[in-house]
Amino acid sequence: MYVFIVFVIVLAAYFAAYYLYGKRVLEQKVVKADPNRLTPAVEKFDGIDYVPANKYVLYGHHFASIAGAGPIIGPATAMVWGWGLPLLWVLFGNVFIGAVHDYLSMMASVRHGGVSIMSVSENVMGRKARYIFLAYVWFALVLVLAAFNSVASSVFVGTPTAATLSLIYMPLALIFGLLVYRAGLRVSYATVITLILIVLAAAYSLSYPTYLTYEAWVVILTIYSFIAAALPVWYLLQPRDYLNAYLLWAFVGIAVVTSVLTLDLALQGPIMTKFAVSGAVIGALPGTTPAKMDIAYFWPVIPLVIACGALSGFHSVVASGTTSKQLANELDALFVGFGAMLAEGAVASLAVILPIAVAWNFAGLETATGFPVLNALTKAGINTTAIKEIIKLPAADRFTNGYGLAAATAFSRVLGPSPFIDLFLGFKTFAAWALSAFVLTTLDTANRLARFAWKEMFDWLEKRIGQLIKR
Amino acid sequence: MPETGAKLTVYAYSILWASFSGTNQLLAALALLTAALWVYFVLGIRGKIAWLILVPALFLWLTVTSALVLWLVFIMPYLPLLYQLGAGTIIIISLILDFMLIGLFISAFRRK
Repeated sequence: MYVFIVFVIVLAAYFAAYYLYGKRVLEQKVVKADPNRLTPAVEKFDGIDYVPANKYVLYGHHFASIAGAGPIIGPATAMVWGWGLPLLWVLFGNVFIGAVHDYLSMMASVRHGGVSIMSVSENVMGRKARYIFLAYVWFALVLVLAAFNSVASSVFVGTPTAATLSLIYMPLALIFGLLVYRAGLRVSYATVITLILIVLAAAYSLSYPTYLTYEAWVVILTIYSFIAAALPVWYLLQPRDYLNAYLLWAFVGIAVVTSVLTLDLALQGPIMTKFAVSGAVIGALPGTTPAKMDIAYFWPVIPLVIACGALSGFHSVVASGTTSKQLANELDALFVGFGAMLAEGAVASLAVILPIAVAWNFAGLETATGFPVLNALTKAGINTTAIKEIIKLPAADRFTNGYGLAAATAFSRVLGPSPFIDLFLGFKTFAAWALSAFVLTTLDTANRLARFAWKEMFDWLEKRIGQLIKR
Repeated sequence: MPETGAKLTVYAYSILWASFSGTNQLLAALALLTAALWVYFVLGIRGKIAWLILVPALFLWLTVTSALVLWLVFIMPYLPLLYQLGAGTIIIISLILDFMLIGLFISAFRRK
């Protein structure tokens, strides 16, 4: 199997899904989006949560918040089944569930005054459903916060340069927000100024890594996400997510260019290993009984491994939480809701599954390309005599090394073989930055959404003891 | 706190991942079912298009619910106590809420 075939299948699936299903069916026949109908952001403007946003700024916010560690860690973990089954699940999930789910929950919310999908359920399933739904979401968000805090902390421990850049990002995003919303600077000017500062920050952070322990990062990130979730959206959330979207686009863009430059390369990885793999893939601790048994059957356990890359319930909470309250026009919703899900699917299929499949067998890749793959990996601290295949690495490292090797191979074909090792190290660090950027935005949006859910869950209390609540 | 398994450091996320992912996917199934009801009753869409939204939602619901039961039976009993109490409890509560919601979903369809 060649990169070419996978690349064409993925692109064809996404274009067909967007125009034939999204635009023709969902927007025009189901929702019947109307540009003249006022959206909640306009109608209920309050300057805190209800603020109409530019289509592209909103896309950035939505894409950056829905794209968490899910589309990266999940597919990288699922590679134990080979690349075929995970890719099939990602494409099927994107087109028939994920994108539909994100778009419809956003529009259902918009038509109900910007309330969450849980509150929409009251209309169709009764009052009881709403409170059960809200409680469920609150518990699910607790797990999101726990898992993503742990992912971000481990990435910062593993790649301390990414930690520095993330720390500098925050004040830069604040500056961007102030430039646009307070100083009234045009979005394009403010973007250029801030992006230049980010490139400088990236260069700075390469030489000044931040070393802290895992436990320290857990505490810092907990405090950070609490504060970030309490600030008005335009202050940190909108600008930071908007800026992160550029990083994420660069990340997806490099993956696409890499595929195009390596279309003739054969995939080293197997299309399918076996249908049932070790229980370790669904959380069994290494060494315990379930980790030694092949109990993880691809169906039905695949959704316990691949979450946001294929589809994600968390998206409905974002779409009907922060995003629906900022939508300026109903016609923006397909681009923002449906489009962002497909872009996230492209992260899973083109930036994670494909590079890992290409770089699967290190010696094989070296023979196929003629580039010093083994030396490059040794330079990055990987023992290539013990680890011959990418699948032997932990999930996050499969991703960073796979992405780094594939991109370095592609660009070395243009630039010549001599910078291969430096290219690999550079792209690998870039991949870790992108991963941490994905995770951080999700962390504070999840916290904000948990606050929304909590507030909606106890709205009955407000009616009873209204005079006791200070406004 | 990183748990130490057979000679390698395991971060909390690799243990929590399946339960995070499972509750997330179940939420997707429930939200899409809600959206399907909205499309069916509020927007009044019938026929092929309604099925195109409903069938994948039901398929996902069935997949995730059985996967979570499998996780509870085979994986959860072998986890460290802290994870059994944290992730295990949340999964059990989630499954209970899940069945309550699917009950309401079915009765909503019957009533209207």
